Amino acid sequence: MNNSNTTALEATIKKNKIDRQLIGLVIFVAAIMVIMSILSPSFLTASNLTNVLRQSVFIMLLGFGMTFVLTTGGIDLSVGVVMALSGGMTGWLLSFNVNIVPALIAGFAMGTLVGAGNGLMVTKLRITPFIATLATMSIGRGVMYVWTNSIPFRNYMVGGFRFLGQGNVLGLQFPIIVAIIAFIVLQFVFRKTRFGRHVTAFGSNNESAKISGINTDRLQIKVYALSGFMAALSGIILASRLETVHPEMGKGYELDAIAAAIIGGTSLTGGKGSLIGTALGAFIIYLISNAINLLNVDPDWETIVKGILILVVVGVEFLSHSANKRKL
Amino acid sequence: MMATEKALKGRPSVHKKKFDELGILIVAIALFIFLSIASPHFLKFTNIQNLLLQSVFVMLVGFGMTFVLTIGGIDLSVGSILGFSGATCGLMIIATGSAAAGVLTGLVTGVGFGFLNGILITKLKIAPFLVTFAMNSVIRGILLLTSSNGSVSGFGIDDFTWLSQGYAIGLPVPVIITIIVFVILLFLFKFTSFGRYITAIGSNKQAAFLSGVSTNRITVIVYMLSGLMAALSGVLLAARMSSVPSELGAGYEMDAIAAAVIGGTSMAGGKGSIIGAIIGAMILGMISNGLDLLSVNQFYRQIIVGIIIVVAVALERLTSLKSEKV
Repeated sequence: MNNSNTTALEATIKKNKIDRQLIGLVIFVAAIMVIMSILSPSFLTASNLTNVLRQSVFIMLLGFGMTFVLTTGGIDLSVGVVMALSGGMTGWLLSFNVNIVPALIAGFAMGTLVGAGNGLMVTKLRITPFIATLATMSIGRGVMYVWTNSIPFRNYMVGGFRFLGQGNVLGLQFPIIVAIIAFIVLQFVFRKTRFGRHVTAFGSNNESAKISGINTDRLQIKVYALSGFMAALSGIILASRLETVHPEMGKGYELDAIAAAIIGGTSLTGGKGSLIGTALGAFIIYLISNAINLLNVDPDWETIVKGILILVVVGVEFLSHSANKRKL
Repeated sequence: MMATEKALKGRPSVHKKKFDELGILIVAIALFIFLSIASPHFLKFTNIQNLLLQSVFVMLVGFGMTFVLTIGGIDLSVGSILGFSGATCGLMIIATGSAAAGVLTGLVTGVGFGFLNGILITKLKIAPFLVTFAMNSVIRGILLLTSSNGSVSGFGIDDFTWLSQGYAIGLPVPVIITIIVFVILLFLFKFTSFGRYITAIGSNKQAAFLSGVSTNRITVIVYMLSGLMAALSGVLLAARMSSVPSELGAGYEMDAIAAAVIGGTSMAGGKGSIIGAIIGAMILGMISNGLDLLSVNQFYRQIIVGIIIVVAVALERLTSLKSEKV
C-alpha cells in the first residue's frame, strides 16, 4: 500500500472526527440551553451566561496550554501549582510596592521558567511527562507553603492590578477579553505556523518528526514553557480577582484543564488537538455546575456528572471511530 | 523489525541485573541511618511501629498500582475507591452489626469498581488515564452523596477496630496483614503465569496477544486487584479512624504512584517491582516521620518527595540507558 496516501487519509479522517465531535459538543450545549431555559427562568440571561464564561476563563487559559502539551503526547500536571507560584510572585512583589510592570514580568517569568524546567526534565533527563510534572507539582506546592508560611498573600491590590481580574472593557469583563485574545493568538500559532505543525507532527509520530529534522527536544521545551506561561496568565488574573493568594490556589485545576481539552476532542495519546474544542470543553464544565446550582441539586452531583460526561464523550468518539472503520 | 530487535537486545540486560532495587534500597538505608543519628527518638520501638503503621496504607495501594503500571496502565481512581469502600464497609457494620459482613462489603465494592474500570478500558478502548480519572470523580461524588453530613461514623465496634488498633505477635495487625498480602502478591507476580503475562503485556501488548495471552481478561483482573488493594487499605483506615470522612483517600493515588515509581516500577509498563513498592512507601513514610521527629515543618515533605522522585527516576533512566548501550 502507498504509505503517504494512507496517512493523508488518516489525517482527513482525524480532522473530520474533530469536526464531528465539535458539532456534537455544540448540540450538547444547545440541548442544555433548551432544557435549562424551560426549567429555570434565570438561566438563559446574558448576565448568567457571561458569568459562566467568566468562571470558565481560568480553566480555559490552562486548557489552551494543555492542548499543546497533550498534542505532543505529553501531559502537564503542574499547571495548578504554577498558577499559585506566578500569582503569588506577582502579588508578593506588589505587596512590597514594586511597580506593576516588573511584578507582572516576574510572575510570567516564574511560570515560563517552571514550564521550561518541566521540558528539560522530560527531554534531557528522559523522565516521563506524567512523573516529571507530578514531581514539579509536589515541589511547587511545598514551596508555596514554605514561602507563604501558610498565611495567604494579601494587600497587593494596587489600582492597575485590580483591573486585570475585575475591570470591564466594552461591556465585557477583562478576563474574558484576555481569553479571546489568547485564543486568537494561539489558534494562529497552532494552525498557521511551523511551530504548530511541528507540535502535531511530533505528537503523531515522535520518530519520524525527529528523522525529518525537527529539533524535538527544543520543541518540547517550548511547549512546556508555553503551558507554564498560560498557567502564569491564568494565575495572575485569578490573583487579581480573588485579592488573595492562598498556598492551595489552583489545586485540582490541572485535572479540570485536562478534562476540558479531552471533552473538546484533544487526544491523550498525542497528534490531535483542538483549541476551539478546549474552549467549549471548559465552558461546558462550568455550564453544568451552573445548571446544577440553579436547579438546587446537591452540588455533590457535579463531580459525578463531570466524570460520566468525560466517559460518554470519549466513549462516543470510540464508537463513531469503529463505525467509520467498518465503512472504509 | 527495528522494534523487535531492540526488544530482544533489551531483554537479556533486564535479566542480568539480579537486584534492580539495590540503588533505591541504599537510599532508604541511608535515610534510616541519617534519621537514627539525627533524632534519638527515631529508633525507639514505638516509633518504628508508628512508622510501619503510617506506611502500610499507601503501601497496600502501591502494591495494586505496581501491577497496573507494569501492565502499562494507570489507576487514578484508587483514592476514591479507598474512601468509598471504607464507607460501604462502615454502613454495612451499622446495618448488620457484623464486622465480617462489613469488611466483605468493602472489599467487594473495591473489586466491583476495579472490574468496571477494566471493562471500560478493554471494551470501550478508552485510555486508562481517562477512565480512572473520570471514575475517580464519579466515585468521590457518590461518596459525598452517601456521607451527606461530611462523614460516615458510628461503626466502631471492637471486632472491627481490632483490625487496625490491635496487636498480634508484637506487631500492629495492619502490618501483619500487609506482610501476608505482600507474600501472596510477590508469589503471584514472580512465580505464576499470571505475573509473567502482566509483564509480557506491559512490554509488548501486541506480541503478548499474538502469543495467545488473553490480554483483555488479564487487564480486567489487574484493575480488579488494584481496586481490591485500595478497598483493603480503605477498610483498615476506617477501622483505624472509626469514621470515614468524605475526603478519605483523596490524593492517595499520587502517593501510591510515587511509591511504585520510586521503587523502580516503570510508567511505560513492562517493568515492576513489588519489593520496590515497599521500599518506596517506606521512604515516603520515613520522610514524614523524620520531619515530625526533627520538628521540621511538614511543608518540606512535598518538596523532598518531589526531588526524590526526580532523582530516583532519572537515575533509573540513566542506568537503563547505559545497559542498553552495553
